[in-house]
Amino acid sequence: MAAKVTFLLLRVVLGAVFFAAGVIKIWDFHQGAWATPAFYEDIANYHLLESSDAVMLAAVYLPWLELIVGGALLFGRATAGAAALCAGLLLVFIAALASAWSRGLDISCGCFGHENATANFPLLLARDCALLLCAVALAWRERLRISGPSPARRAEGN
Amino acid sequence: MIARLCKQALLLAALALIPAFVSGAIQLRANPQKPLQPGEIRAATVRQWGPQVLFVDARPIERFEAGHIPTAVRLTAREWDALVPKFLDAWEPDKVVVVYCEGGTCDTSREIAERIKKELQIQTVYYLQGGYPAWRQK
Repeated sequence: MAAKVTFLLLRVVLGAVFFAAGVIKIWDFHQGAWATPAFYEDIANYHLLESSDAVMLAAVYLPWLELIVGGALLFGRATAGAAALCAGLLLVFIAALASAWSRGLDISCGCFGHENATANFPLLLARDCALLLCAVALAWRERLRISGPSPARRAEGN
Repeated sequence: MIARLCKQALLLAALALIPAFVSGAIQLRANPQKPLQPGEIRAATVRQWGPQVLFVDARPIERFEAGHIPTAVRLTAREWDALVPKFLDAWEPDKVVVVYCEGGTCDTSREIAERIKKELQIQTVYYLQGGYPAWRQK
């Protein structure tokens, strides 16, 4: 029972975080306009993608992917796949943050919309690593759930 | 089960393509602004930064004397060694460096921005999209 509640909480929290991150990057509620140009600048500031077309594709696609994945987790649909995608996205975010930190870039994270403050890299990396652990645990649990009870459990049931 | 997990992940990734495509198309229609290259910055963004910007004029001296952004310091490839000390005097660690040239097809500002990053180890350096003419268009 405790495990069930824990995983339900993990799913809802992870889903809410990704859903909110996606929404904020799609629409700027302060300006009442698309947030894509600001997110485009945030991605470009990492200097990881050479082509501006690639930066634009990432700026348009990533927020929607976060929103869809977050929504799937919140509503408990395709949870295993959504958790696995979350883990993959978080690995990319961690790599990008670590790379920016190692190069001494003075940039904003862009994680939850455009900010003027410089990213606190150790804190952001710690947060993303914690979320990655949650996503991996959730994906692992859902994978086991999909595969059904173990042969020993099934035998016990019979 | 791994196959099912991958199938779910692929399905979600594909599902996100639909709204991304639609929103991208709507935005492109509403605002056909030229996309930025990495390291490039728009004049509108630089204006928001205010006094924390150190402008670098990468144009020849005669163009600089004909008109330049107030507070800008000169730095060109030809006079690099002579002008670097003046640039370093004006630079402070909390300043963002924005290099500009004549606009249009001029590549000088991008080259100078890259050189500042590589040779002077200053990372917060951008070059202005559209150059000096873009700055003058309010």
